[in-house]
Amino acid sequence: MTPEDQTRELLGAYVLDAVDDVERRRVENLLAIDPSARDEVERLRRVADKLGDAAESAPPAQLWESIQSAIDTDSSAHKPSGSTEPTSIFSSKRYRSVNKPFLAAAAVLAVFVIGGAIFAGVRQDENVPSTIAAMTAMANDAASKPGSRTGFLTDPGQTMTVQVVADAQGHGFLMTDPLPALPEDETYQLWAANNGTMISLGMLGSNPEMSMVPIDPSVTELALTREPVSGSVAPTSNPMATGSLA
Amino acid sequence: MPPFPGSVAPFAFETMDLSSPASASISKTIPASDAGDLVDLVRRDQSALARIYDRFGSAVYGLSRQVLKDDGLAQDVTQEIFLRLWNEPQRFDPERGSLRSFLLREAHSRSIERVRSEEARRQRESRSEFRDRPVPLDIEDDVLKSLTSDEVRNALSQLPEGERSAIVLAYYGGHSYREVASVLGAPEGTIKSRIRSGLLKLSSLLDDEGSEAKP
Repeated sequence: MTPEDQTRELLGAYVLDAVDDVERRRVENLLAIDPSARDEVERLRRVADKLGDAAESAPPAQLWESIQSAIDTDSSAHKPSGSTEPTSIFSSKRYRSVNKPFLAAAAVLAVFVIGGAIFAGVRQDENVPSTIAAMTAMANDAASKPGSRTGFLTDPGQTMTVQVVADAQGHGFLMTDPLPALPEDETYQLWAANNGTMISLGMLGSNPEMSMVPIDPSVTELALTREPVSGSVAPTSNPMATGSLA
Repeated sequence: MPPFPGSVAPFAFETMDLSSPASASISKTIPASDAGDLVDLVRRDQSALARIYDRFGSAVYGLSRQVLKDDGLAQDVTQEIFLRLWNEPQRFDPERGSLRSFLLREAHSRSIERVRSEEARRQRESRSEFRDRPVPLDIEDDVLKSLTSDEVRNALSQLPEGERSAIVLAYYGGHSYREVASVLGAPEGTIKSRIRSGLLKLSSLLDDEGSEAKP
């Protein structure tokens, strides 16, 4: 039996948390290079999830109160009276005037998983203050984390700037509100530029206010194009804005 | 289908047109309830955490209790998991599965950590005592009786005894495969193989019965 076979034999025990740290690293090294091992682990994890579900038991009634109490204590500890808001890369203050009539419009938040990360776009004409605020909070949270990177996408004439932040886990956030609205049959599409090759990171919609896209930590150069609404495999137009992450 | 179709207040979660070239890399869609609660959680909306607790509290607590065999410790672990979700919602990666799966895995791994740290403490305090938890062989019957899913119980009962014991002791008993080998008096390599082959059989049995993971 090869060392790889021996590691493969550990996949079941790995999924059940029944291996030691050295063995866990061995398995994770195998998973990094072996798609069939990843598939097997995914399959076994689904079984483990069902085993876990089968142990369901109602918690004591006071447990939620205890959790809530801990949250309240934590919140007051972190937000002393008179404290000021932290400085943010993204600001959502423009969206706080929720009494404007147009803000009552129904909202659509599309959330997808592309390549493992949340991809969400909120359309400008949907006026979703709470959602924008949520995404802004996520962006600011990401920007404050070690290993996060920031940058700007700008057009050649530098008439507009799109702020970008990407965290070390590959979550990317774009403040896309400066972008002009496109016709409904077009979409903005974000690309990673890598040695002349453009790799799609996702479509942002025709009039995105703010967008969440997966941005792998290896990506440094970004480009934005306008594409047909179904998106393109490769850019069909010159980038209207480009930028770098650092 | 446009990328952001329809309009349903307050939020509508839609999938993209999977036939479009640019969306070919989409692997799965976050369940709407997960995504909505996740967004609200990031907004520090306590009611989102309450909704998540309502949906998954029993699963998290039940699994922790099963592994820890102690109501108090299970409550501690459950509280720790929900507080961690509150403080670090970004730790949930939708590529790795649903929020339910994420929380169950957290519950299991945190419970295992508690079990092992308790054992280490006991061993330090009493070198001659291997453990004062129930004899693991007794756990199997108790576990099988306590499972709330007939489907899972039936699937486990169809496994050869050696595979079933190894899986039950490792997963619900919180034992490493080496400990399982020691308890069952079998070579470690045999136990590794039994766990793996048993889980693969369970996968087929549970899939054959057309079961879906809970959302």
